[in-house]
Amino acid sequence: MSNDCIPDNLEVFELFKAFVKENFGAKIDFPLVSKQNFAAKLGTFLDQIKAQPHATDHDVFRQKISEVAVDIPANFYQYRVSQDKKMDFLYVSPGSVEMWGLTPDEIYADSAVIFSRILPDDREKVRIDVVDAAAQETVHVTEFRITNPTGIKWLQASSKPTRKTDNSWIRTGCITDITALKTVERKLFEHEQFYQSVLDSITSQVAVLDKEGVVVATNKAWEEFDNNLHKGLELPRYKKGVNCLTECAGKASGGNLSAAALEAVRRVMHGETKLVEFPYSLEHNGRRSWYLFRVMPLQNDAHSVVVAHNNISEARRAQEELLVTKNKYEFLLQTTDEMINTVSPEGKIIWANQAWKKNLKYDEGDLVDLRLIDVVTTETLVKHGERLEKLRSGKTVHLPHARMIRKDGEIVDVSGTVVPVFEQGLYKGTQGFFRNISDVERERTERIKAENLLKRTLENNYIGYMVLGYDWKYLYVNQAAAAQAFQVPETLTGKTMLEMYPGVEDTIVFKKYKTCMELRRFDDFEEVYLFSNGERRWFEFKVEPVEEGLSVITIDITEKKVIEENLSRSRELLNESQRQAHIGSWELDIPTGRYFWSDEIFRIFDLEPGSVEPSYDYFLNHVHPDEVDMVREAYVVSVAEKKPFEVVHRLVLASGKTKYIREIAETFYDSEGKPIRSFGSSHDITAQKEAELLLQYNEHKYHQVVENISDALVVDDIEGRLVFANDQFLKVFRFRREELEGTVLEDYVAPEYRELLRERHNKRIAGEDVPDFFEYKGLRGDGTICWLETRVCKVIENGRIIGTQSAIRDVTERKMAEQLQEQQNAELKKINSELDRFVYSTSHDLRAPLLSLHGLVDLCSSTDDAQELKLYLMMMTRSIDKIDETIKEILDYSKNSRMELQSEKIEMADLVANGKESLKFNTDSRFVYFRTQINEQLPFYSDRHRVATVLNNLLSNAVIYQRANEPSPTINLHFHADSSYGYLTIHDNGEGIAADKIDKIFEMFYRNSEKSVGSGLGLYICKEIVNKLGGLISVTSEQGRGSSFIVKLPNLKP
Amino acid sequence: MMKLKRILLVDDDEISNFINERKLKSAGIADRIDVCISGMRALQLLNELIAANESGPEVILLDINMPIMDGFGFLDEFDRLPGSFTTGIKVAMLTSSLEKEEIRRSYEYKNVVDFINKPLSTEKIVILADKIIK
Repeated sequence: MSNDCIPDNLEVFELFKAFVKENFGAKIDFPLVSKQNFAAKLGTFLDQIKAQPHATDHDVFRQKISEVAVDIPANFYQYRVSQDKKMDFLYVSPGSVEMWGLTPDEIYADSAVIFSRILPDDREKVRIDVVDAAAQETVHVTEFRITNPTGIKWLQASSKPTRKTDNSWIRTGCITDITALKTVERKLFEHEQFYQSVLDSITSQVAVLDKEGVVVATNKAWEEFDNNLHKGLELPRYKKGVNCLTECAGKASGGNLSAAALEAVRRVMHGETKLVEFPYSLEHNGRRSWYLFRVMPLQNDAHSVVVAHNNISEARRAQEELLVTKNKYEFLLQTTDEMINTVSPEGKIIWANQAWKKNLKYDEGDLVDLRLIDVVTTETLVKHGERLEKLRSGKTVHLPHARMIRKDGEIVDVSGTVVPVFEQGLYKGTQGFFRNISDVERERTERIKAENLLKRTLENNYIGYMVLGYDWKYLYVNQAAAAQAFQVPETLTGKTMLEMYPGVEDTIVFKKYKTCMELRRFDDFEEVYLFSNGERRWFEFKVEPVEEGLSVITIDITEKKVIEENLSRSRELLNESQRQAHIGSWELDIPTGRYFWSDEIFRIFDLEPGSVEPSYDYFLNHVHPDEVDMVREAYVVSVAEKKPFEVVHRLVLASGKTKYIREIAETFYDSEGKPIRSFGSSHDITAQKEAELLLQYNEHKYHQVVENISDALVVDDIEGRLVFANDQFLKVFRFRREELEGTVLEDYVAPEYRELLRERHNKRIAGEDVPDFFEYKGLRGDGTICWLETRVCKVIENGRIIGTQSAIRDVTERKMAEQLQEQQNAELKKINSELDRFVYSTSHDLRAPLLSLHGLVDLCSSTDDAQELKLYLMMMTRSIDKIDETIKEILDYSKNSRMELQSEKIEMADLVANGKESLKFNTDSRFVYFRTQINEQLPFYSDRHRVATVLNNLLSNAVIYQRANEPSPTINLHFHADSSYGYLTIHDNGEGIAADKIDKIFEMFYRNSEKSVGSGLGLYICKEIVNKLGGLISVTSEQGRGSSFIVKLPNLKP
Repeated sequence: MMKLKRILLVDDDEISNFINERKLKSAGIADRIDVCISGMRALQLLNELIAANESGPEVILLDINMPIMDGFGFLDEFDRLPGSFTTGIKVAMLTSSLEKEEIRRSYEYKNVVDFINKPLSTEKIVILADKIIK
């Protein structure tokens, strides 16, 4: 059905709608089709109906409605239900095709067909309405769903009853399609559900008012708020369904709030404003909660408003806490003599404390455009750049020495720590804590100068001064004094106090003036002054009797007081700075006796934070017994006299450890002068105290050392740069004084000791324990090495380590002697052990064949057999040979150790030939194939006898240790010489040496084989000879494959 | 004099072995005399006897100063052989050594019963035979 046509005559349609409603109980609201004369047709129809009083009569209805029904998107019908509940359709308009997909004829034929189209769930409901309840004198409106070829449709059937004389009922009605409406309804419902759940999920309390002021929706938070917080409070309660404008208005007795709230609702509702917002607070059960009240129009619906309360208590409290914390933190940051700055990730100086500004001579105004690179030297940035990069990853960086630039360009040496600042996990830059380690004295002068200047400025602007006559007349009032009383000097001068301030004689201040005036006494006090406008301000008064009467100096200290009061709470942020400085803080709430310690106090006591209940007694129990009275007295006097106190005392901890503590504390008082809270800080100055003691000790030692001028004295700074050296130092190290400029410790330490000494230096500077007394090798100016003995101590100034001082003694001669002695001892030890072995082995090697001879002689004497005797004689000869062999070896050994080297030109080929010749008596040598390669282009000089001994031993071994199953036993000999060395290689393919034995073969008397015929001296002698010649002998071998002996001998040319 | 079944002579010196074997034979102390020229070979022999489930020699005459494995090295290995085999085997050191330390060390091994200085003589064999019986 198209929708795009404009009805011909709206009035007629309205009349028709009214007719349908009246006669069929149906409300039809549909776009009417544009058909020629449709409106006219409808008009005629309506006229006829009007003309016929029995318009709903069956025939008339059918006749008349059928004329128009075809054009209306509705299904008109009339049916009869007989007494036995039989249903017959009397009329069905053609709209049934559109509605049901059934023609009127199909429905006439069987009325049940329509039920088959209705969804099974809805059938029973429709049957009851249409059939069972047909005999009721009411208009029925039934909604149900049907299926037709296009899907599921929502239909609405309405009908009006007529009772027939035969007790049957005729119902006349019409069916319209309400699918679109139903869809919208469902969507609307879903939307409402959705928005309600959103509203419920937020913590603000929200209520929605309609244009009459009736609460139409609230969320969970609102309901809970209403139930809990408003319990017992006479405040308007905007419950669902309540009209808050009419019902709450009269009852509201919550003071300004409710009136203001209602007024806000009214204003927003009338479109006067888009938003009303104000905070208010409620005190409930002793707890004050803050809320933000807001009223605003509901979007798309100008007359509805949303009322919301936001509980902002937490935020508010956090804000207050933050402010207090910030004040306290800043106070401490500002008052410390450590230089503290905050730097943004981009390198801008965001904030700096007084000490920082003072040290670097910047004013607050200068900070605006100041960048880190303006105040730190390039040298420092380059040097520490890599480490500073680590800040971003959360690492703290310690800078034992950094250099900063003052506003006037002067360099300031500082030492300190840089910590990264993170906020909610985001890197927000860094905070640096530095100490100025430049000239402290000069700094102090500057500070005094600056303080004087500040004082003068203050005097001109902030210090009130007046002179009062004996009759309390203002004789002189300066600008500041008048301003403090919201006056100008002119209005006060000449008047008396009593005139200006009636009732003033009852005030504490006046009473004190009076006492001073009468007794001609000086007084100095702080007092709060309540002005007629309700303002309370704190002043410090200095009253002094003068010739004219009294002079009074008044200083407004309200701000100071505010800060002091703020200081009484908060811990968190302080903790870090306290830890940095070893300053802990404590608070004593005097009315409740509650005692609070910051974490650092626990640490000072070597305790885990929170591990004991802090109390004044606990504290006193750990004060050094000699100082308990002094500490207690200091506090009592401080409270009584209302003056801060400062004491230095010792703490004796459970472990027996003693710490030095500087205690600074102050008590705050209420306006009646009663003490309310003591606030103190404890500064662990043990390190400083110890450093002072060490300094005294070192000074004493310094004098001693300087007197003993035979030592070289040197003082260096934290970087290891030489800052002082005495004449002896120059002598020991062979430096000239002008060479000392820029000398660092590496310049006078031998390379192998540099790393160790630099590490010790850095550790010593960092306060770690390192040896004070040690020996090392020094490097002299002329490049020679010397042995030194040194005693090092820290140089301490103002409690800080600024370098080290060393007393150095040249112990080269002693060291040399020691070394020589050690060397000689080692040699002697070797000779002794060799001698032992020698005696033992020779006793065996010489005795064994002798004993064999003895045994053979014995055998000879017991036989006459000539054959046997011959055998014995042969054996005797072999025993004698063996004795001879051993004696020869002993001689070789003895010659090598005793005879001087005799260098001569060696013809290696001759030596090899002689060696081979001596082996020919060895039966094994007959089958060995010798390959010799001798390169004697350059003459080789050495000790002929010794070289021959080595060569013969090696050749003999190569022959003896052949492999039995080797078909072609071979010995390769190779020799060549250059101007420095001669190289001899003897390679065999014999038995080889097992890997675990190879290390032992050069040992004295070592025998590795059953074939070993001698005493086990051969290779030992070789090694001794090669050592004597200053050469090297080495072996490579593989068991079962052969061995290679390589001898490298220096060419000892004359 | 009692007659032993088997004596083992361990020495690297061939002449010494020749003489000692002669002396033992002429003394007629044993049916059989085995000679090994190193501790290693002696161990090998004993292991072969164990494998063949034969009993060992009643007496071992052992030199101390030998290459590769000296007398003490042999005794260390000997102690690792099965106790059922070694029990009853008496060891006599036969050496040219005069070292007190070596005498002391020898007696630390439970099987060592005598310390004889070379050369072996008929008298020394008789004394040894006495010790073995005890």
